[in-house]
Amino acid sequence: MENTDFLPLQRTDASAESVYVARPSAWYRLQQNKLALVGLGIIVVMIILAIVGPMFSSYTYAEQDLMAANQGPSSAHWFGTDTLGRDLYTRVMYGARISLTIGFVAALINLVIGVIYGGVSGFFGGKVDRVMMGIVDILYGIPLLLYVILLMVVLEPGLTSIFIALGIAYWLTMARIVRSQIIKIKKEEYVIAAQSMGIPSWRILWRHILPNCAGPIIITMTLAIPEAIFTEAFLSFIGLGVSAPMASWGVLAAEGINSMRSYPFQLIFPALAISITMLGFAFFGDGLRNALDPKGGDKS
Amino acid sequence: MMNVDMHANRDAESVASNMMQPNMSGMEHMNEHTDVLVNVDNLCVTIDTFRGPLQAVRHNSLTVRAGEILGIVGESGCGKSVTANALMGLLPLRNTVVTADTLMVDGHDCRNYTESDWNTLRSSTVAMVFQDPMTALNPILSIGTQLYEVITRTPAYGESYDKRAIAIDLLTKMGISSPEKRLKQYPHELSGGMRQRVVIAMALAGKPKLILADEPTTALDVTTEVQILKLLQQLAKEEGIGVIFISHNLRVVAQLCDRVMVMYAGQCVESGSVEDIFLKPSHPYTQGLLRSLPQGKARGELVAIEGQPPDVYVLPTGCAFHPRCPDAMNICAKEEPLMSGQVQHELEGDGQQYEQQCGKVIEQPQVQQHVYRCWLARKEASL
Amino acid sequence: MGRYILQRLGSSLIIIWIIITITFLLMHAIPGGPFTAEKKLPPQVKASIEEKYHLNDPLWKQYTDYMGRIVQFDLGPSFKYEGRSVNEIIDESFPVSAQLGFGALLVAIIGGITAGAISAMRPNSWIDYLVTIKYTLGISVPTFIIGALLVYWLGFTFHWFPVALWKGPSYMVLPVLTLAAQPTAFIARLTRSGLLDVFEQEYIKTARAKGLSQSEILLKHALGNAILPVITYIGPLAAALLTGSFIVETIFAIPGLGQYFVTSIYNRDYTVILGITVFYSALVVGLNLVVDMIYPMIDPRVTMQEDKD
Repeated sequence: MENTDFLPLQRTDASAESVYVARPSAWYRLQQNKLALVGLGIIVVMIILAIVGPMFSSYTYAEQDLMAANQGPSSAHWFGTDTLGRDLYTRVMYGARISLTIGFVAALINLVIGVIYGGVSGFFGGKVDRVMMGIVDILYGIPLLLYVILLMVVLEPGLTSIFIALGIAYWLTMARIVRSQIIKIKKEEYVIAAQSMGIPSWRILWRHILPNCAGPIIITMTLAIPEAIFTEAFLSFIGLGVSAPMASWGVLAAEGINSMRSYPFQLIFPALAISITMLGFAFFGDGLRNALDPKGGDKS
Repeated sequence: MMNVDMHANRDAESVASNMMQPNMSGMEHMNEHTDVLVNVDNLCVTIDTFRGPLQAVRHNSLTVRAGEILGIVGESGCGKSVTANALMGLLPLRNTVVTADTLMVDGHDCRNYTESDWNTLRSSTVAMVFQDPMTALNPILSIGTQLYEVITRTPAYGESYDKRAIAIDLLTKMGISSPEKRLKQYPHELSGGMRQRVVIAMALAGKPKLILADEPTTALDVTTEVQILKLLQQLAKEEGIGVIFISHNLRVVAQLCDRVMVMYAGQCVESGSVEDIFLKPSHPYTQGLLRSLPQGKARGELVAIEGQPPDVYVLPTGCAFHPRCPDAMNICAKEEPLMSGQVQHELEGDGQQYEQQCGKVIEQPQVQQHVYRCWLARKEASL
Repeated sequence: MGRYILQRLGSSLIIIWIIITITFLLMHAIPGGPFTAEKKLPPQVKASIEEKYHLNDPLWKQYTDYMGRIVQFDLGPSFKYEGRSVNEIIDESFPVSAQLGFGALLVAIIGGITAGAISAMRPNSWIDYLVTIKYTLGISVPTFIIGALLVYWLGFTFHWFPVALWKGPSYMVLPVLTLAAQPTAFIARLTRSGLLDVFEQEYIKTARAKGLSQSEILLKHALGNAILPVITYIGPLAAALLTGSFIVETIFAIPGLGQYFVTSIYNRDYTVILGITVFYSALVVGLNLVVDMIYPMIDPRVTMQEDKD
C-alpha cells in the first residue's frame, strides 16, 4: 500500500469534474419561506370562501329582517346581524367576492395598461420613451387618490366605476417597472445576439424580453391586489363604494364603525376579513419578492 | 461522505499540530522581536451561508515584518481577502467564526477580540486599502469629512493639530493635485485613480504600522497602477510600514513584494521569498500559475491550469488541488499533505518522523523559509 | 442652481395647470351638470342658479373664467353653503388639518426612522419583531379600522383621551396616532431594509476599518444613505396623510378640511370638491418640489443641474 501511494493517480471522470450544486430555484426558495406559504394559504382559503361561503348560509346578502336587527353572533346568525337584520356571515362572504374581484380585476387592468405602456416605452426608447415617461412623471406628481375620488363622484356608483377608476389611476408603477426592466434586458448580450441574427423585434420581445420581466411584474401584481382592496375600502368609508345592498368588506366595515359602540361585532368581522386577507397578500408578496429577486428583496 | 473525509483531514491536521505543541515556545520567542507585525498560525475562518458552512480559510499561517511587503496570490475565492480581513476583525460578525492558534497583530493577542477591542488597533496600527475605490468611499460625505474622521482619532498627532493641514499634506503626498479643493469634493466628483489615492491617504492618515492592500490596483488603469505600486513600495522601504498586498496579478507581485504566499482553496499552498516562488516554484499549482503567464520575448505557448477552482462547499478529498494537478498521485486523493520545506529534501526516515519534520515547518514559518504543501515533497524525500 | 429651481417651479406650475384642467373637465362631464345630480329643483330656481354661476356659458368661457379666478387664488363659491366661498372654507378649516398632518408627519418620520434603525441594529431582537409586527399590522389594517379601534379602546373603554373634536393637545393624541400609524410602519420598514442594505456596502467596512464605533458608523455613515428612500417617500407620504385625514377627521369629528371634503362628496357640492382637489393637488405638488430641493443637500450625487431619474 505504501508503494501505490506515490504512483500516479488513476483518475475517474467524476474526480476531474468539480461538483456543481445549483442555486436553489425561486420556487424552492418560496417553499422554504413558511410565512409566504401561510400567506398563499390565506389567499387560497379566502378565494374558496368567497366562492362557496355564501352557500352554507340560508340567508341572502340583501334579505332584511328588522325583527332580528343587531343580534349578536349565534347559531342562527354566525356573525350576528346588522342594523337592518341582514345576516352578517352571508354579507362578509359576499363581501369577499366583491373585494377580491375588485382586487384581481384592478390588478389585471393595471397589468394590461402598465405592461403595454411600459413595454412600448422601453422597447422603442428614444423620443417615444422620453415623451411617454414624461407623462408618467407628471401623473406621479398628482395625488391620484383624489382623482379616483373625483372619478367615482362623476361616474355612476358601482363595481364598473371602481374598476375604471382604479385601473386608470394605478398602472403607473407597473409601467415604470416594466420599462426599466425592458431597458435593462435590452442591453443584455443574448438580446443583442438575437438581434444580430436578424430575429424580428416582436419575436425578441415575446421570446426573450417579456419572460425575463415576469418576476418584477408578478411582484408588482401581488402588491397591486391588496392596494386595490384597500382603496376600495377607503372609498366605501367616504361613501363612494359599491351601491347597496351589495357590500364589499370596506362597506361592511364602514357600516360597522357607525354602530361600533353598541355592537362592536359588526365592525370586528369585516375588519378581520380585510386584515387577514391583507396579511396573506403581504406575506405572500414578501416571500415572492425574496424568492424571485434574492438580491433586491428584504434581508429579513 | 465527502464531509466525513474532510473532517478526517482536519483531524489529521490538528493531531499533527498538537504534536508540535512543545515547539510553541519558540514562537513566543519570535514575537519578542518588535519588528514582527503579524504572526498568525492555524487560522480558520468559517462563514455560514445559505448553502451551509463555508470554510473560507483553512489552517493558514503567515508572518509579516516591518518594512516588508508580503504578497498573497491566488484565484478569486481562494480566501485571500478573508485572510486579510481576519487580521483586522473586519469579517461580518453575524455569520463568521474565526479561530486561530496564534493571532498576534503588533504584539496584541487578538484571538478573542470584540469589535471595540479591534477598534483600538484599527487605523492606528493596521489599516486597509480596499479593492474598489468606487464603493469604498461614502458617497454622501465629502473627502475632507472622511479623512478628518481618521485624523481626529489618531493619538499620534498629539493634543493640538490642524486636521486640515494634515489632510492636505496627506493628499499632496499621494500626488493629488489641488488638495484644498478636493477636501470639499464628494467621491463621485473624482476619477477612479484619484479615489484610490484618497482611500490610501485615508489608510495612512492613522499612521498605521501595517497596511492591508486588498487588490488595490485591480480597478485602475495601468499608469495609475504603477504610481500606486510605487507609493506602496516607498511606504514600506522608507517608513518601515509592513504591507500585505493581495493580488491575482503575478507580475505586479513579482515586482513589488519581498515574500509571496500562494493560496488555493482557503489554504496556503506555497510560501517563500519572491525569488523562491518565481524561480523555484515547488507546488504544482504555483508552477501552473507561472506557466500560464506570458513569457517575456519568447512567443511560447500559454498553458492554462486545467479544470475549475474547486467548489468551496464540497472540497475534494485529500489535497484540494489534486483533481487539477498534473502530478497527482494516489495518496493526493486520500490525505491532505502537510506543509514542508526545501530543507527536508535531505532528510530520510520513516513516515512518522518525516511528518513531524513537516509539522515543525508549519508551526514556525521562518520568515526566509520556502515552504509548500504537497505530497511531492515527501515522494522526493522517500526516494 | 437658480435656473434649476426656476425650471422645476415652471414644470410644477404646468402640472398644476393640467390638474386644474382635468378636474374642471371631470366636473363638467357629470351628466346634466352639477346641479341636476340629486334634487329636482323648480325650473325658475334652476335657471337663476345657472344664471348666477354662468352655467349657460359655453364650456370654454366657463373654463377661462375659472382659470382667470384661480390665478387670483379665488376658488369660487360653494353651491351648497349659501354665501360661503371655497376660500373661506379652506382658510377656516385648513389650519386644523395642517396641525394634524404636520403632527402625524413628525411622528411618522421620527418614530419610523428610530424604530427602523433600532430593529436594523438588532436584527431578530424583540424590538425587531415588534417593528415587523407593527409594520405587518400597519399595511394590513385599513386606517379607519385602526382609528375606530383606538377610539373604542383608548377612548370609550379606558377614557384616556377625548375621542372627538379639536380643542387642545390631548385631543390631538388619538387622531395623530391614527393618521401616523401606517406611515410610521412603512418608514420603519424602509429604514430597516435600507440600513441592512447599507450595512453590506464597502464604505461601511471602510468605516469599521477606521475604528469608528457602532453608533458613529450608524449616525455618520449608514443612516444618511439609508434614509434617502425615506426622503423620496415624503412626497407620497404627504398625499397619504392627506387622504388619511379625510378618514381621521371624519371619525374624530375634527373640523378640518378633510371632513369638509368628505361632507361635500356626500352633498355633491361640486365647487367645493373641485376647489379642495385643486388646493390639495397644488399642496402635494409643492411639497414634492420642496423634497426635490432638499434631496441634493443630503445626496451630493444628485445635482441641481440635472433631473434625477
